[in-house]
Amino acid sequence: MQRVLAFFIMMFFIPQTSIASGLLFSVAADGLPVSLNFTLCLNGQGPLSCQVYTASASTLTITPTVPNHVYPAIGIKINTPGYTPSGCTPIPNGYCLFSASSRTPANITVNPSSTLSYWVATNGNDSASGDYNHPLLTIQQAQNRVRSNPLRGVYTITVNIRGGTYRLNNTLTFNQSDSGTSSGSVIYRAAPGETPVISGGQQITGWTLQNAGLNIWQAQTTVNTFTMPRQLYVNGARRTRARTQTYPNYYTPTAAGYTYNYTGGSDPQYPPTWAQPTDVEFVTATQWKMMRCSVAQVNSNTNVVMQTPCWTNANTYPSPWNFYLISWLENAYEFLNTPGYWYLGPTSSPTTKIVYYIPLPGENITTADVELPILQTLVQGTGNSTTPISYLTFQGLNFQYATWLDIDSSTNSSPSSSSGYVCDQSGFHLLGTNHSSVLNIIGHDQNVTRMPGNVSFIYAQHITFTNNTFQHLGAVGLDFDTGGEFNQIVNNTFYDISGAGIQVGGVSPQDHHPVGLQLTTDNLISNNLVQNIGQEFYDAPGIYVGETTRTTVQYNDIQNVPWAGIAIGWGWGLLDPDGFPGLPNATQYMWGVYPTPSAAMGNQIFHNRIQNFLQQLWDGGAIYTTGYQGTSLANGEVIAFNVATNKRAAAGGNTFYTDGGSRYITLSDNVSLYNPSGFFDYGPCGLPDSFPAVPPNVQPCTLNSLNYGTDMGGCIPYGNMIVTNSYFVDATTFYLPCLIYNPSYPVNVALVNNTQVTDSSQVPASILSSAGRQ
Amino acid sequence: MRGNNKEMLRRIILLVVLPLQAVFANPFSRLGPQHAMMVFQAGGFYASQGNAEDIGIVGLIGDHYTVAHPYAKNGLLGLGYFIDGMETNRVKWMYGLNAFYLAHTLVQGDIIQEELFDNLSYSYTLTNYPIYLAAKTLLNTGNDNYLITFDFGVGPNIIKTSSFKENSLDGVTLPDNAFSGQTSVAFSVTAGVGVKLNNVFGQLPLELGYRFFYLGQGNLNKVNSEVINTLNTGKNYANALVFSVST
Repeated sequence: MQRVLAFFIMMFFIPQTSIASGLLFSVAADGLPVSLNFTLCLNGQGPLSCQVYTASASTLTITPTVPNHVYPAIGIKINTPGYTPSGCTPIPNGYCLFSASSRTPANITVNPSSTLSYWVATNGNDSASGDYNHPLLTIQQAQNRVRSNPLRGVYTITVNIRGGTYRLNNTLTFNQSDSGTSSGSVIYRAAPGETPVISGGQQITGWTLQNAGLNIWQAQTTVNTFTMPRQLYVNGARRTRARTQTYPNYYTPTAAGYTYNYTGGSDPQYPPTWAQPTDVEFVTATQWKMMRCSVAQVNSNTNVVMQTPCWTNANTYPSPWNFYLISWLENAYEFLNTPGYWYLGPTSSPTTKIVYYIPLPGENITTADVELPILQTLVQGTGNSTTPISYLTFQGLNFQYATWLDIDSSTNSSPSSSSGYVCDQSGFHLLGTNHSSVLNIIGHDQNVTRMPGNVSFIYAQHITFTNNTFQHLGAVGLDFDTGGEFNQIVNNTFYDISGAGIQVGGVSPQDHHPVGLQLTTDNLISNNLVQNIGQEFYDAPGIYVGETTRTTVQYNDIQNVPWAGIAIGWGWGLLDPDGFPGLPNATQYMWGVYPTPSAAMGNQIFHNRIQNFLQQLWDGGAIYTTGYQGTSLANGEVIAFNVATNKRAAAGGNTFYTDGGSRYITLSDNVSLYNPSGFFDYGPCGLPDSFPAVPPNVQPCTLNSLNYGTDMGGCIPYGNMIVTNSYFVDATTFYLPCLIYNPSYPVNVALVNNTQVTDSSQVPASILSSAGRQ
Repeated sequence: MRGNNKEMLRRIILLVVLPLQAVFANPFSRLGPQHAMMVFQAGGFYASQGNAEDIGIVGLIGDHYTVAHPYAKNGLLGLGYFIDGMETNRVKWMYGLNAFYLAHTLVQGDIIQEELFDNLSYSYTLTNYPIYLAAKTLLNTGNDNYLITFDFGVGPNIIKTSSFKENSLDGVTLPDNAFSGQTSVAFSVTAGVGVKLNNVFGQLPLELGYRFFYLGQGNLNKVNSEVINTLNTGKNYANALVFSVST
């Protein structure tokens, strides 16, 4: 019994081992920084003998720690989503095999995998994975996925947007949380071979005949209180807001508006016939300006009181730059008298409106695609002066059906608001009440506001737009506001736009004398088609470049523009160190003293082809400049190898228009053909106008028979310009319409080796063929 | 361990007392000599089990499985049926079948990867069901109050392994879980000696004895084709204290 007890006691003895735990591998990481978690197995087939490792870079050097043994099938599996290894052989169990020993380490590179690609489709689901077979429904959701992706900024992330129409209820807003980096941009692009449409439009259906006599059809739509769309499109074509004949002849200007002195009976122009008088816009378009002011009220059947501050602001300018003449009235049901006209009228409900439309001959409105834009901004990218938004690419997308709304009734920022649209120049206009109470006899205000972009970025760097289409838009197609750097606008189409096609840089103090990242610099506008822009705001150029540094505008085709093809610069010398008074009636330093040069420096305008410019206004050109463009010819502006043809024959203007304060510009190898000298045009004589009856009582219209402009010139340029190797119809005249104001300027304008031509056959083919899109 | 001993004691009491109660409750039970008898057995055993072993893996040096706790204890139950054999004045032989259930025990140890790194531990449970052709010898001591008994048996042992699992010891190494439990059969023998006390609890004969079991070797099932050989239980044996009552 004792032995049995001893035996049992011995059984409690437990032998212990003293071998310690340890790593099976030694791992070193190098290369691109990335946070990785991965599994390594001595036998990847099993997988057996596995351990979990982490690394902070993408290139791994893996060494087994067991000495003197070659491991033929080590396995690696990347646990961090979005990465796959290379330099090894993948097998079905998810591991990737390679051989290594303690003396022969293996190098494995870890690359991002397909999870860096998201797909969006109109039949998608925002809860889906976002891969090709399980696409997301909205671009917003794709943006959210990208924003939360830990690899954003490390590697390129692509959002593939499949064909179809994506109707936006809200603006696609991007900020720094959406940015990529130089090594990992974020790309929003069309799926290969497909055409996604990003639309701010509401499709209008349910048409019924409202007035058989005039063939007016109507349909109800739902819009919010501040939504007053200004455009209507039928089957992809802009239709005309109902308007009167041009130059209505019954209105006499007053301080607050007009009196109406027609006594011939009922007439659509007769204010008492207007069911909604406050909808009516008075429109004037003359010289380089266009203005739109709405009616505030109609009194005593004959007095039309205009909205302020629109009317007040318009009249800060003297005639003929204010409502000297009315070009037409717009936006009343009573103006519906022509096929293609439309009007958006109110209902008893503030959230519904009725669209009225007279179809074109042969147009079946009940089956047509009718689009009413109800969103102003399709895409808004916002950075700030310390952290810009950066490294986003938009590729192959179709942006369309956006408008210009009175988004916030407190700002009155829309042409439909009480501010109206009081143009200064190039889409920059007067808002609010802080404008000069003294008559602005120089024609330009120091405090102007840019036209908003339907696609817009501010404080943005390395943003790229390629192969996109911007069409049927109600403001500026693509806008890069203050602080745009290294952005690229390449191979896009801008078509049927109310304002400018492209707008880069601004004219505010932070633009012309920027601090830090406020500077707009090194942007590229290349190989774009800009066509039929300025459809609603005639003063808009095809491409506007503000106070910027090293902007390159090249190889663009610009066609059918109401005013200038390309406009660049601001200030007419008044923002430059000399305070040069480059406008009639201007005085030195009247806009302040700026001892340092403006941001306008080193810009280049090359190889553009500009056709059919000045189609509506006059006193512009194919290429228009103002202000100093550098501090010497060496760092000044170069305008070269551009071909400008087919100006509206009657439009007075200078094809290459170096306007007020233009300085340090080299014009070389440019062509101006088929641009006959035009005329002044202040509208017909004999109409009541706002021109003051002062001696000698010469009405502006009496100047209409005089020629204005030629192939080059401006009012009043500073000088320091070279015009060389040009091919102009008039190669010798530098047109100076304002010479009487300052006969000592321009200075140092050299016309060197220019050739007079009458036909394109006399122009080197290399210049003609290298102009426009390549 | 103290808790385990209490649990063991509790199991033994239940295993012994409950069958006795059943016997007393049976009005047909007879306590005197007869031609055949049923034997109810209960007790505890202390087993030697597990086997330190090298496990080969394709392309690797392989793993060494240690056994950290080679001894384990638990309760047993037995059931026998014996018939009378030869009988002299001093000796009586009986023959029959005797089956046991040796409750599960835990086998555990470490896995030394590549014979260098103690990165994993493992464990599994082991349960034995030996079935013997048994012989029993009762030796008359000349005292009517007790007899000396000798037992011997030979037969198959059904060995069940289960609940195999591995655990990481360093938080970095992943369990291979290369094996799973299975049931196998091994050759087994048993031998024992005891004292049969008559009239301890009234007329109930109670036998108290020691048993040795050779249980044979079971194994686990390898579930990974890259593992070359399987893990086995080693050649297990057990020492037991057994209480028996017979009818």
